Amino acid sequence: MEYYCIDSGSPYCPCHLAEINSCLICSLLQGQETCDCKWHGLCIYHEFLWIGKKVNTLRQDIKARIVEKSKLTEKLLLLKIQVPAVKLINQYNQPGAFIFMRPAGTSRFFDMPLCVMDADENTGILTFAIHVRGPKTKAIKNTQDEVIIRGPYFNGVFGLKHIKSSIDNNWLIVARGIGQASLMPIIRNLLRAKNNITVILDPGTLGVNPVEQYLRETRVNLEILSFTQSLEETVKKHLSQPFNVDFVFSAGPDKQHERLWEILNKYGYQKPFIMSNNYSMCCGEGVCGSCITKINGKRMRLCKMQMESQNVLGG
Amino acid sequence: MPKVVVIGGGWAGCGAALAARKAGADVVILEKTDMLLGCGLVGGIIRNNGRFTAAEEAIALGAGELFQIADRTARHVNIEFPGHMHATLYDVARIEPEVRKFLEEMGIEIKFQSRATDIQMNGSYISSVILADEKVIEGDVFIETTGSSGPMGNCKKYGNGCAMCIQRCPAFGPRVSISRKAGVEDMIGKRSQDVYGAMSGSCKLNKDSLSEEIRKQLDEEGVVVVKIPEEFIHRDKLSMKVCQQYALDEYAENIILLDTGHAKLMTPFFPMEELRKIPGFEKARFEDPYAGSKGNSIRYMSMAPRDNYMQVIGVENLFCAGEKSGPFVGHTEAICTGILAGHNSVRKYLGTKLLELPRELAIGDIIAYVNEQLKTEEGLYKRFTFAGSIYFERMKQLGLYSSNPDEIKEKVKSLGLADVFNNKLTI
Repeated sequence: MEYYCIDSGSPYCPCHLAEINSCLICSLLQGQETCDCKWHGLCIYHEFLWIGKKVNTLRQDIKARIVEKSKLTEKLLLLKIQVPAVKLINQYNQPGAFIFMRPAGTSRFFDMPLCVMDADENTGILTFAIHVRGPKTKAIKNTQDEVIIRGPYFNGVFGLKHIKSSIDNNWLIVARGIGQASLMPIIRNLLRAKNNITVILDPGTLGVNPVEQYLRETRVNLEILSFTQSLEETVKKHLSQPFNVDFVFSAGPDKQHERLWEILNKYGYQKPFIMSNNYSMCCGEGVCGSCITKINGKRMRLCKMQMESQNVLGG
Repeated sequence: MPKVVVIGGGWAGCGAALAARKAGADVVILEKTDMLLGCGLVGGIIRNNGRFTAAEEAIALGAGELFQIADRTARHVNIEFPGHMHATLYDVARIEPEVRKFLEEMGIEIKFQSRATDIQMNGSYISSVILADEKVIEGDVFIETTGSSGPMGNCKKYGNGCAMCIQRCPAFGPRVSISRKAGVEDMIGKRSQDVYGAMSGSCKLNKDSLSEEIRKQLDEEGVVVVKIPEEFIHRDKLSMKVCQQYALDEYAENIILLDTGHAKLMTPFFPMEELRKIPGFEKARFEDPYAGSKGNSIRYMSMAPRDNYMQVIGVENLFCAGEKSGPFVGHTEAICTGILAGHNSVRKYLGTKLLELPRELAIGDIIAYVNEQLKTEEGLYKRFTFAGSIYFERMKQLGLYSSNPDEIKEKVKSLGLADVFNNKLTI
């Protein structure tokens, strides 16, 4: 099974896991005596020694001002914040990018992962859609002026390599509820590479489609799933169209991933399946352990481990 | 027809593929880089000292074609250099395409840039090899000839870091220990109690970067010996090198160059600043490793326990050869272990008795002797080659050494093994 650490080779590698013999990739940095890694183009051990057995850049907490907070529904919040380090802003526009956020003045217990819905490279404004449900989201709802953010993190989607390498292909995207919040950076990336995209939006229990307005400004084929339509019928229709579907991306809850994967298998779809990463996370750094899942008998920290969706679904 | 999958296209893998094909198998070689021969691409020395005997034994046994290609592409024949007699230097720039053509014409399939990273097992049998791109290669019998050097992390931890050698791990990915994936722990060579591996023993200079005088002498005689100024002599380097047959004081006190197409410098690495202060080397630059100023690859990091048939102990259908099969040094040693592994892979498939080469032959003796040595405390600190050091001494003592091809041929014949590798075993 192919997998790699999303941060390997980035400015955030080697990280503190290397220092404590817990690197997700390098056997030497796991305390073993010889090399046996899932090679992904560079030697983390070499990098670690090269910079003096130190940890590379760590993501820092930064304060960000809330510039807009609007209530789309009773449960759905649209939040815009101003990020001071504008030069980094293009990183927040990467497919799968997310951050951790908490209200200023609260403890780290309130850190929650949020995918970046939009990042304006000119103004340095990040936009998020937040489904208000538990203590963390309620705390954000009650915050007036400042939040603490930490990021960017990049493992918000499984099967990321397909998004980054697809040129001039046909994409079918199904996005439900708050899962839609991860769509925009991905769609922009795909459109830049001349891909042809059909998006099926399903409001789910949220009752609205947070990205509908954004999508209407792009050249994607948009379809809104109504209460009476079944997902299976809709997907089947698209799969049987004269042009082939090359990639399917599911943005939404795990239930949708599983259902969609089932439908795709039923109709003989054998191409890549991409899906949003919904695993619980508290730190994003492979430390807290809340994202650990057993895959092929191996404990994987899915906040950092990038792999094909079917491995995650099968695991 | 049995399908034999050879993992690693170095000299050992080429030898194994050749012999498996001759014995009647359908053979595929999986090679991670873009060329065959592995470290043999920057090697060149054959037939020195006891290697002459081994090469002639291989020819008499019926699988000597690789030696004949090396003879055919030789730049220099029957030369001498300190401690070494009757050496042949093959041309590193010409030999790879010749070997490739020869193997392909034999009907062997070679898959380049195909790096084996994992396996699928069925009980104690390997059913397939999985490549880095997740392709699955099925087979009946597997031969691992992935060598023992690298990957980069090992070269960093036990050496001076990646010196950009011919293996080009950063570009093509590191070798993976297949036997370990099959659940067999690797044996690791040692330099001292807690320092693993040994450093490759030679680096290569670009011939055109040397003075005209040196170049001319290399072209004409094949060997140049230049005294190193006292302040640049590093005797400690001798102890870290793989090639104990070249760990003589002469190799610390002199620059010994051999003409293999490159100017092969018989020391693991040489700081450029010092090298360029020596007359004739003012404009020298490295050809392999590219960073030959600072280090060389680290080897013997991954050896599989095996029997004298070359079968890996603990896996029913996995054989090994070359450095993977023990602390052997050299192309000759790789080819000789390779051909036995290749031949026995077909016998294994057919369920017939595996062939063990008798200890009257140098090849048979070294295979058995290295196994015995590895069982001793000091075994992991030793290196073995027909070309010198402890094993060549042993050859001479036991009367295994001969530089007379007719005598060797006669001996192989009297043992009933003439052309044994030429027998097609399948119907």
